[in-house]
Amino acid sequence: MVYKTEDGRYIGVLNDFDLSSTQDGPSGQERTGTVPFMAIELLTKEAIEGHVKHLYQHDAESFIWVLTWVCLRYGDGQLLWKGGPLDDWLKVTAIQCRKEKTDFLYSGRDDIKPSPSHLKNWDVAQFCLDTLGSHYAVRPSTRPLLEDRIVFESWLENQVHGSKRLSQELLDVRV
Amino acid sequence: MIYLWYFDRQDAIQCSGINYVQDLPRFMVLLLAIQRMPFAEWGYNRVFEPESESSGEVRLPDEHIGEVDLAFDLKSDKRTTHFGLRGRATTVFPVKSRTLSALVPTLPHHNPHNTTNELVAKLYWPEEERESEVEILKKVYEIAMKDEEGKVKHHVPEMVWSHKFEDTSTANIRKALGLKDAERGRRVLYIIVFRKLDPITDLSDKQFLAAWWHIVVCMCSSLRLLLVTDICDIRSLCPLGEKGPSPRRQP
Repeated sequence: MVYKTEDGRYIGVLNDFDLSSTQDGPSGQERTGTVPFMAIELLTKEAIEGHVKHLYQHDAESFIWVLTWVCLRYGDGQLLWKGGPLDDWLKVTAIQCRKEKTDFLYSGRDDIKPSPSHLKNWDVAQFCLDTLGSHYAVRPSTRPLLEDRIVFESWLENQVHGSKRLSQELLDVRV
Repeated sequence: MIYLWYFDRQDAIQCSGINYVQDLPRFMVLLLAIQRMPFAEWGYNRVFEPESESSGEVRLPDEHIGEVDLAFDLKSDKRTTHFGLRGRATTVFPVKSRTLSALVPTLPHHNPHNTTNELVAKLYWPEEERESEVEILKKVYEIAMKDEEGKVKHHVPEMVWSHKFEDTSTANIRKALGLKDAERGRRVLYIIVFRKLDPITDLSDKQFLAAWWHIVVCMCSSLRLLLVTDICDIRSLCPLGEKGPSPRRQP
């Protein structure tokens, strides 16, 4: 979510803390994510049954999927059209969605057209997806355990800073 | 045979069948009981759906600030509703309240940079055993208070007021029926009033990317030490416009 300040700046707000829990709390019986934005690794049978530990890298990946989603589906602040490229992700099961997303990651995204409102943001998303692609390129048991800081820097920060899309002023998160 | 099903936000309870030919008296008692059930016993919440004509304004007692007035704008196009029987069933819509509007500037976590005068109410049925959003937000505000880098402060929602409807727990009927694990997975109705925010998807181009970046940085800050999040949800960034199917986590 966002709000607008007096000087016309839009400030991003992390919302919906009912979907989170602090470390020691019981996790309850229900799922707390939305399939299209969930990390590929969490869309497996083991993960759905609660046998996969939730890590920061899964959140980082979710942010990349959200960026991707908005670049492809929203124009001028409106949802573009029904039946678009990622529409199926909302309708299928978690396992099927993992297959769709994997296919998108390794081939589907190459020639897809972003909305004109997010043309340049899509470049950033593509670079983020590239890093994600190389992470998932090796088989699960040999994937490295990444430090949170490394994930943040290599998956997100380097891509956003490297793209030079945002001026120093826009990169500054202080209000 | 007649099988009775009772549905609530937790799940369904089915009774054993009644053979209404062989057991006509029991069936008659059932019919007469149903005929005499008042609104509340059909599952209506008397606070929101009084039997007499509703004035559109709800008043709720609060131990700290006295009585809270709430006028919901149920016809707003900004309203987001969740359809379906089971689950949290989160509904968000604009609300007007003199008491709560006056409370906003006095909150310790008040954010003067958000220029809106509007409030929204979030009504939903979270699982009671999960740590409540209210408790989590209190911890978040403690972190924001200490945050000197500006990564968290001013990047979290402003909760104005909350209320848990204690008597709505879905465990009540399960306990009354003597069901096994009557407390497990129970849900309870909550209302939380926030200052209004806009969906991030309203933004385009650099404005969008910058706001998205704020949230990425916020999530990768001291907040991360507190939260084991499942921020896998576009609803963390915008309201409840789009939703997907849910894989059910097995107990």
